[in-house]
Amino acid sequence: MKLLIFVLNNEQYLEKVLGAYVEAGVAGSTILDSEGMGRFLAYEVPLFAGFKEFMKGNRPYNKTIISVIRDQSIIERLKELIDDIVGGLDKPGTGIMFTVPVDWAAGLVSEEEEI
Amino acid sequence: MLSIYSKISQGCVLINPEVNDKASLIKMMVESLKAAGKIEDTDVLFRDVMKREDLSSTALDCGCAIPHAQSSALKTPAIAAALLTDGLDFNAPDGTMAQLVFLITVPENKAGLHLKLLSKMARILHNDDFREKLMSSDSEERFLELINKQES
Repeated sequence: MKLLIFVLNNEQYLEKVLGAYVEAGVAGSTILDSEGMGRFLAYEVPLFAGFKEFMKGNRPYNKTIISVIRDQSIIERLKELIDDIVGGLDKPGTGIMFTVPVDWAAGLVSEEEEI
Repeated sequence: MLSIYSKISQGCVLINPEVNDKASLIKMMVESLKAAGKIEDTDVLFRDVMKREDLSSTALDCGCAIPHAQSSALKTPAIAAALLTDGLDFNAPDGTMAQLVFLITVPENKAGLHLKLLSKMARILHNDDFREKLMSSDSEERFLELINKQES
Protein backbone atom coordinates (compact mmCIF):
# COMPACT_ATOMS: atom_id res chain seq x y z
CA MET A 1 0.00 0.00 0.00
CA LYS A 2 1.41 3.38 -0.95
CA LEU A 3 0.62 7.05 -0.69
CA LEU A 4 0.93 8.51 -4.16
CA ILE A 5 1.70 12.22 -4.24
CA PHE A 6 1.57 14.12 -7.49
CA VAL A 7 2.41 17.82 -7.69
CA LEU A 8 0.93 19.00 -10.98
CA ASN A 9 2.57 22.24 -12.04
CA ASN A 10 0.24 23.07 -14.91
CA GLU A 11 -3.27 23.36 -13.50
CA GLN A 12 -4.83 23.36 -16.95
CA TYR A 13 -4.13 19.62 -17.12
CA LEU A 14 -6.09 18.86 -13.95
CA GLU A 15 -9.23 17.58 -15.65
CA LYS A 16 -7.30 15.25 -17.93
CA VAL A 17 -5.11 14.13 -15.04
CA LEU A 18 -8.10 13.25 -12.90
CA GLY A 19 -9.56 11.43 -15.88
CA ALA A 20 -6.33 9.43 -16.01
CA TYR A 21 -6.66 8.64 -12.31
CA VAL A 22 -10.12 7.25 -12.90
CA GLU A 23 -9.02 5.30 -15.97
CA ALA A 24 -6.06 3.78 -14.14
CA GLY A 25 -8.35 2.60 -11.34
CA VAL A 26 -7.59 5.04 -8.54
CA ALA A 27 -10.57 4.83 -6.22
CA GLY A 28 -10.27 8.21 -4.62
CA SER A 29 -7.98 11.21 -4.34
CA THR A 30 -7.75 14.49 -2.53
CA ILE A 31 -6.77 17.64 -4.41
CA LEU A 32 -4.94 20.38 -2.56
CA ASP A 33 -4.25 23.91 -3.75
CA SER A 34 -0.53 24.40 -3.39
CA GLU A 35 2.24 26.83 -4.24
CA GLY A 36 5.81 26.33 -5.33
CA MET A 37 8.53 27.17 -2.82
CA GLY A 38 10.55 29.01 -5.41
CA ARG A 39 7.63 31.12 -6.45
CA PHE A 40 6.82 32.04 -2.86
CA LEU A 41 10.42 33.02 -2.10
CA ALA A 42 10.87 35.08 -5.25
CA TYR A 43 7.58 36.95 -4.90
CA GLU A 44 6.96 37.18 -1.16
CA VAL A 45 10.42 37.50 0.39
CA PRO A 46 12.23 40.72 -0.70
CA LEU A 47 15.69 39.22 -0.19
CA PHE A 48 14.99 36.66 -2.94
CA ALA A 49 13.34 39.09 -5.39
CA GLY A 50 16.30 38.78 -7.72
CA PHE A 51 15.36 35.18 -8.50
CA LYS A 52 12.11 36.02 -10.32
CA GLU A 53 13.88 35.61 -13.67
CA PHE A 54 15.20 32.25 -12.51
CA MET A 55 11.63 31.21 -11.69
CA LYS A 56 10.20 32.29 -15.06
CA GLY A 57 8.26 29.50 -16.68
CA ASN A 58 7.37 28.03 -13.31
CA ARG A 59 3.69 28.34 -12.50
CA PRO A 60 2.83 30.39 -9.41
CA TYR A 61 0.29 27.88 -8.12
CA ASN A 62 -0.11 24.17 -8.56
CA LYS A 63 -2.23 21.25 -7.47
CA THR A 64 -1.13 18.44 -5.21
CA ILE A 65 -3.10 15.22 -5.59
CA ILE A 66 -2.78 12.59 -2.89
CA SER A 67 -4.14 9.04 -3.02
CA VAL A 68 -3.65 5.79 -1.16
CA ILE A 69 -3.16 2.97 -3.63
CA ARG A 70 -2.93 -0.73 -2.91
CA ASP A 71 -2.24 -2.07 -6.36
CA GLN A 72 1.22 -1.20 -7.72
CA SER A 73 0.06 -1.79 -11.29
CA ILE A 74 -2.32 1.15 -10.95
CA ILE A 75 0.61 3.43 -10.20
CA GLU A 76 2.52 2.13 -13.20
CA ARG A 77 -0.44 2.60 -15.49
CA LEU A 78 -1.13 6.04 -14.09
CA LYS A 79 2.46 7.14 -14.69
CA GLU A 80 2.12 6.21 -18.38
CA LEU A 81 -1.11 8.15 -18.72
CA ILE A 82 0.25 11.20 -16.91
CA ASP A 83 3.39 11.25 -19.04
CA ASP A 84 1.17 11.31 -22.09
CA ILE A 85 -0.92 14.19 -20.76
CA VAL A 86 1.85 16.50 -19.55
CA GLY A 87 4.39 15.60 -22.21
CA GLY A 88 6.63 13.63 -19.92
CA LEU A 89 7.36 14.15 -16.24
CA ASP A 90 11.04 14.20 -17.09
CA LYS A 91 10.44 17.53 -18.80
CA PRO A 92 11.33 20.36 -16.37
CA GLY A 93 8.40 22.21 -14.86
CA THR A 94 5.70 19.59 -15.51
CA GLY A 95 5.46 18.18 -12.02
CA ILE A 96 6.73 15.51 -9.70
CA MET A 97 5.21 12.19 -8.69
CA PHE A 98 6.41 9.94 -5.89
CA THR A 99 5.23 7.37 -3.40
CA VAL A 100 5.77 6.69 0.27
CA PRO A 101 4.86 3.45 2.03
CA VAL A 102 1.65 3.33 4.04
CA ASP A 103 1.57 0.83 6.91
CA TRP A 104 -1.98 1.48 8.04
CA ALA A 105 -5.09 3.11 6.63
CA ALA A 106 -8.81 3.26 7.41
CA GLY A 107 -11.74 4.48 5.37
CA LEU A 108 -10.39 3.44 1.99
CA VAL A 109 -12.84 2.38 -0.67
CA SER A 110 -12.21 -0.72 -2.71
CA GLU A 111 -10.23 -0.16 -5.88
CA GLU A 112 -12.89 -2.16 -7.73
CA GLU A 113 -15.67 0.27 -6.81
CA GLU A 114 -16.69 3.11 -9.09
CA ILE A 115 -15.71 6.61 -8.07
CA MET B 1 29.57 21.80 3.55
CA LEU B 2 28.65 25.18 2.08
CA SER B 3 31.17 27.62 3.56
CA ILE B 4 30.87 31.37 3.81
CA TYR B 5 34.18 31.75 5.65
CA SER B 6 36.15 30.18 2.80
CA LYS B 7 34.80 32.73 0.34
CA ILE B 8 35.90 35.84 2.25
CA SER B 9 39.47 36.80 1.34
CA GLN B 10 41.96 38.77 3.37
CA GLY B 11 41.30 42.46 2.94
CA CYS B 12 37.62 41.93 2.19
CA VAL B 13 36.34 42.71 5.68
CA LEU B 14 35.90 46.46 6.11
CA ILE B 15 35.69 47.67 9.70
CA ASN B 16 33.92 51.04 9.91
CA PRO B 17 34.87 52.19 6.40
CA GLU B 18 34.44 55.89 5.72
CA VAL B 19 31.33 55.90 3.60
CA ASN B 20 28.06 57.82 3.79
CA ASP B 21 25.70 55.83 1.64
CA LYS B 22 24.89 52.36 0.40
CA ALA B 23 26.31 52.82 -3.10
CA SER B 24 29.65 54.05 -1.78
CA LEU B 25 29.90 51.10 0.58
CA ILE B 26 29.09 48.62 -2.15
CA LYS B 27 31.66 50.25 -4.42
CA MET B 28 34.29 49.96 -1.69
CA MET B 29 33.38 46.31 -1.10
CA VAL B 30 33.62 45.58 -4.82
CA GLU B 31 37.04 47.27 -4.90
CA SER B 32 38.18 45.06 -2.03
CA LEU B 33 37.25 41.98 -4.06
CA LYS B 34 39.27 43.33 -6.99
CA ALA B 35 42.27 44.00 -4.73
CA ALA B 36 42.01 40.42 -3.47
CA GLY B 37 42.14 39.16 -7.04
CA LYS B 38 38.63 37.74 -6.91
CA ILE B 39 37.08 39.76 -9.73
CA GLU B 40 38.15 41.24 -13.02
CA ASP B 41 35.83 44.14 -13.76
CA THR B 42 34.67 46.31 -10.85
CA ASP B 43 32.31 48.38 -13.02
CA VAL B 44 30.41 45.32 -14.25
CA LEU B 45 30.06 43.83 -10.77
CA PHE B 46 29.04 47.16 -9.22
CA ARG B 47 26.42 47.59 -11.92
CA ASP B 48 25.08 44.07 -11.34
CA VAL B 49 24.86 44.55 -7.58
CA MET B 50 23.17 47.95 -7.87
CA LYS B 51 20.70 46.55 -10.42
CA ARG B 52 19.63 44.06 -7.77
CA GLU B 53 19.47 46.84 -5.16
CA ASP B 54 17.07 48.75 -7.41
CA LEU B 55 14.72 45.75 -7.49
CA SER B 56 13.94 45.62 -3.77
CA SER B 57 15.63 45.88 -0.39
CA THR B 58 18.32 43.36 0.52
CA ALA B 59 18.10 44.33 4.17
CA LEU B 60 17.06 41.87 6.86
CA ASP B 61 14.99 42.84 9.88
CA CYS B 62 17.94 42.54 12.24
CA GLY B 63 20.21 45.41 11.27
CA CYS B 64 21.92 43.50 8.47
CA ALA B 65 21.95 43.64 4.70
CA ILE B 66 23.03 41.14 2.06
CA PRO B 67 23.52 42.88 -1.29
CA HIS B 68 24.19 40.22 -3.90
CA ALA B 69 24.50 39.44 -7.59
CA GLN B 70 25.40 36.88 -10.19
CA SER B 71 27.93 38.49 -12.48
CA SER B 72 30.18 37.88 -15.44
CA ALA B 73 32.87 39.79 -13.54
CA LEU B 74 33.96 36.75 -11.58
CA LYS B 75 34.70 33.09 -12.08
CA THR B 76 34.39 31.85 -8.52
CA PRO B 77 32.08 32.98 -5.71
CA ALA B 78 33.40 35.75 -3.49
CA ILE B 79 32.10 37.48 -0.39
CA ALA B 80 33.06 40.79 1.20
CA ALA B 81 31.85 42.05 4.55
CA ALA B 82 31.53 45.37 6.35
CA LEU B 83 30.92 46.32 9.94
CA LEU B 84 29.42 49.76 10.44
CA THR B 85 28.91 50.94 14.00
CA ASP B 86 26.72 53.83 12.85
CA GLY B 87 24.89 51.79 10.23
CA LEU B 88 23.80 52.68 6.71
CA ASP B 89 20.38 52.90 5.14
CA PHE B 90 19.60 49.83 3.04
CA ASN B 91 15.86 50.53 2.91
CA ALA B 92 15.06 47.91 5.52
CA PRO B 93 11.31 47.21 5.86
CA ASP B 94 11.52 47.96 9.59
CA GLY B 95 13.50 51.14 8.99
CA THR B 96 16.60 49.99 10.85
CA MET B 97 20.09 50.83 9.64
CA ALA B 98 22.35 48.04 8.46
CA GLN B 99 25.38 47.60 10.71
CA LEU B 100 26.51 44.32 9.23
CA VAL B 101 26.69 44.05 5.45
CA PHE B 102 27.73 41.00 3.49
CA LEU B 103 28.20 41.31 -0.26
CA ILE B 104 27.67 37.92 -1.92
CA THR B 105 28.79 37.56 -5.53
CA VAL B 106 28.70 34.44 -7.69
CA PRO B 107 29.46 33.78 -11.36
CA GLU B 108 26.60 33.92 -13.83
CA ASN B 109 24.40 30.84 -14.18
CA LYS B 110 25.11 29.71 -10.65
CA ALA B 111 21.63 30.39 -9.31
CA GLY B 112 21.60 27.27 -7.13
CA LEU B 113 24.82 28.21 -5.32
CA HIS B 114 23.66 31.81 -5.12
CA LEU B 115 20.43 30.76 -3.41
CA LYS B 116 22.22 28.49 -0.96
CA LEU B 117 24.76 31.14 0.08
CA LEU B 118 22.06 33.77 0.45
CA SER B 119 19.85 31.50 2.53
CA LYS B 120 22.69 30.43 4.80
CA MET B 121 23.87 34.00 5.29
CA ALA B 122 20.34 35.13 6.20
CA ARG B 123 19.97 32.24 8.62
CA ILE B 124 23.18 32.77 10.56
CA LEU B 125 22.67 36.53 10.71
CA HIS B 126 19.36 36.00 12.46
CA ASN B 127 21.29 34.57 15.41
CA ASP B 128 21.34 37.44 17.94
CA ASP B 129 24.37 36.17 19.82
CA PHE B 130 26.40 35.73 16.64
CA ARG B 131 25.52 39.23 15.43
CA GLU B 132 26.48 40.81 18.74
CA LYS B 133 29.86 39.09 18.66
CA LEU B 134 30.48 40.20 15.07
CA MET B 135 29.59 43.78 15.99
CA SER B 136 32.16 43.73 18.76
CA SER B 137 34.96 42.62 16.41
CA ASP B 138 37.83 45.02 16.29
CA SER B 139 39.77 43.34 13.55
CA GLU B 140 39.30 41.42 10.33
CA GLU B 141 40.97 38.40 11.91
CA ARG B 142 38.54 38.35 14.81
CA PHE B 143 35.58 38.87 12.45
CA LEU B 144 36.61 35.93 10.26
CA GLU B 145 37.36 33.77 13.28
CA LEU B 146 33.81 34.30 14.52
CA ILE B 147 32.33 33.32 11.16
CA ASN B 148 34.50 30.24 10.98
CA LYS B 149 33.46 29.23 14.47
CA GLN B 150 29.78 29.84 13.75
CA GLU B 151 29.96 27.56 10.73
CA SER B 152 31.82 24.73 12.49
